[in-house]
Amino acid sequence: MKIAAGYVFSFWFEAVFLATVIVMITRARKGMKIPEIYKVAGLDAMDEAIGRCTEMGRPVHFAPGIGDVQNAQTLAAMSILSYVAKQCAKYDTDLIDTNRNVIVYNMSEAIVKQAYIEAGKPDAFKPENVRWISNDQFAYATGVTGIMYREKPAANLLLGAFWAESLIFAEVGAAAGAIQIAGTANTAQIPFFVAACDYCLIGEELYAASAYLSREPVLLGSLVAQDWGKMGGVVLIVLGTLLVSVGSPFLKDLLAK
Amino acid sequence: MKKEVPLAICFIVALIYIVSNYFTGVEFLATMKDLLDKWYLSVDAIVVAIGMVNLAQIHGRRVANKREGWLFSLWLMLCMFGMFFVSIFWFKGTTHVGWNFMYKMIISPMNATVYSTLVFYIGSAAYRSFRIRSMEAGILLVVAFIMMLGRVPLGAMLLGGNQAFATAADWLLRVPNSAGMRGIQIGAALGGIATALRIMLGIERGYLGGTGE
Amino acid sequence: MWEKIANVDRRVIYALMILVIALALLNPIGMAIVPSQATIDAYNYIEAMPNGSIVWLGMEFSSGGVTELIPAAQAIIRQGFKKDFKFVCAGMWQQAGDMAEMAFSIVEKEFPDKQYGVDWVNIGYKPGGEVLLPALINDVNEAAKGIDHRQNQLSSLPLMSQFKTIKDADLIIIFCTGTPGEQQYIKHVTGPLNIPLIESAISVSVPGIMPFVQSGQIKALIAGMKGAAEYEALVGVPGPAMAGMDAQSFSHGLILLFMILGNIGYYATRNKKG
Repeated sequence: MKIAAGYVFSFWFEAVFLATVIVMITRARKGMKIPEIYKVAGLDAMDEAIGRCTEMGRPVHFAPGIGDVQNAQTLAAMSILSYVAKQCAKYDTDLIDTNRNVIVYNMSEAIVKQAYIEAGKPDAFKPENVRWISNDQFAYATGVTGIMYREKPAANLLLGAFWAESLIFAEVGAAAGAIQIAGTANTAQIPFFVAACDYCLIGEELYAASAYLSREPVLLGSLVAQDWGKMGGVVLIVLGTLLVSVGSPFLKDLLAK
Repeated sequence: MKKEVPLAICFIVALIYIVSNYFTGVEFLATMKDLLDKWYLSVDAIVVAIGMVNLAQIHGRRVANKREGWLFSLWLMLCMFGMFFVSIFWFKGTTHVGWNFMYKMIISPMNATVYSTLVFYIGSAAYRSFRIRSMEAGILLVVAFIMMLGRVPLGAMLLGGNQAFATAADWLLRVPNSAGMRGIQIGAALGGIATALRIMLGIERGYLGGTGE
Repeated sequence: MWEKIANVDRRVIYALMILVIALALLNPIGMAIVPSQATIDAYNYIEAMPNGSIVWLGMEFSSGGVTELIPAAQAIIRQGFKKDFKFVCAGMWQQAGDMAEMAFSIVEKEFPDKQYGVDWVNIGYKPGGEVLLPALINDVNEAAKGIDHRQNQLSSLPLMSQFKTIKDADLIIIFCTGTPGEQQYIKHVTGPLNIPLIESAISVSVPGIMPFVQSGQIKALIAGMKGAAEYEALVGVPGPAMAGMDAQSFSHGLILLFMILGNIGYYATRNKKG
């Protein structure tokens, strides 16, 4: 058994990163101090958006992106959905959750149902509000557009892996007069969300959402590890730049191993 | 047990997948990874039926109660079940001329049409958002201006053939954009790995309903 | 009046947009296309490949990407066939096979001596997403379940006797609109196997791809319809991308005009309110 060619460096980097995550989580479990995380306006606005829907008597729309269940962004979106569903259940606000991927749809339904049970309102759960639209990207986009125009949600939460449909959703949401919170790690779509939505979670902020919203120390601990990983990345970039500048390909070759 | 079993499955499967991705030379791991991939594809295909049931329930109810827009719901169900049954019992595969017609002449152009509507949304989004409300918004506007003129021949035409806009757009893409994108990509990649680890270790259980431990 | 300028109905923007694009497409003025360094780099890289090289074409897009990517693909096919390249195409996107057929539709008329199965093969779409790529490294025939897009047995096609795995490709060129796309190729194929990668991508993806170009993981990038138009100019056969640049120019112009108007309206009404 040996490490596949081209994966040696990435294996060791990830192994060290994994160890850091475990150390930070263990520290958090023991109740040791965790640094404060900076305020993320988009996540702070989540309750405000749901509250707005409650006041207006209009639903919340949640789209977990079009990625499949193997996509970490989709899983991060599922954690946010769990929070949103609980808040909606608490305030008796309808939550319309639209899905493209069928496995994600099944997962969403279970999450929303569980949230209503945990809020002590199992009867308020409406299975017809968790919807699978289509496996096809643009058929899904068209379906969501129709729902936005017909059911006029007052909050449009677009959190997950989005591609070309991102701007369609954001513009239709704006036309419907919804407060919009979007977030994705797909770099090509971030500019669209920044331009068209009220709040935008950029890249890693999406992954940090569940920790931020729940404020659970163990989850927050893993965020600290993420920052250490970034520090490692910065060190590699600076070191690599210096070495290449003096004509040494050492680090470049090491990374390619 | 309701949560422990799925968490254990998640941990074991993720471990097999990660190890088989990094290590070569272990036949068992390669076979398991291949098997898991096939299972995923099969599950993905089978659960489409569940999605169809969901659609039929929502739209069937709408048709039965003659709610607003029920005709669209009826049309949707006709298309969905029509394509489903015709594909299975008549076309019997993707090489049939009928299937090719439905796919190439209807679904494919409709996809292209929806994609092309983006041009309108880009127009209205740019008009609405690029207001100089702050210094950052002003910078965003100036950059958008340079990029939009630099990425089309119009920029050079306005300057009498001078490629200044194209050169500036190219610099913006190569230098500030690449730096920013790289930062976002590194952060997002680490965030993705950390999320995967949290899920694998059972710390984040949002996908099972309920957050955290 | 300023209120109106600051809040133009989006339908007015849509109507003007369609009008401008239609007029530019119907009456092109033929704006000058000056190739950028990035496109010249891509052209030179392919030009420097030895005659008879085997090139893998990854058709990672669907009908939405046709206008930006097919012209680039056709220009590359023209350049490649002049150098006797052999092309093998496939893709992880459902319409990959149809997109390849569309790209190669020029062959019959422009290169009548080039034969399917000998000079090019369209394996078409194979399911599995990015799982397909590691499978192609092991055995193309097995990964493709033995058949091509036209339902031929791959073993019956002469070109495939020289192309057993994707490792046999001298160059990989991919045409992408999203995921799966370049990141999957870099991760599974071109990174570990050190095969050069060139990409043609739609405009919106370009900012996200630039770091990979700078790092050398992508040797050259043909960026959007502009890149395709420049490539057509370099190959010397004007095509749909060059024709479309007028429409794109005027649509950009219209958006810029609205952006300026929006700001004028915004400031005029803001001062009034203030």
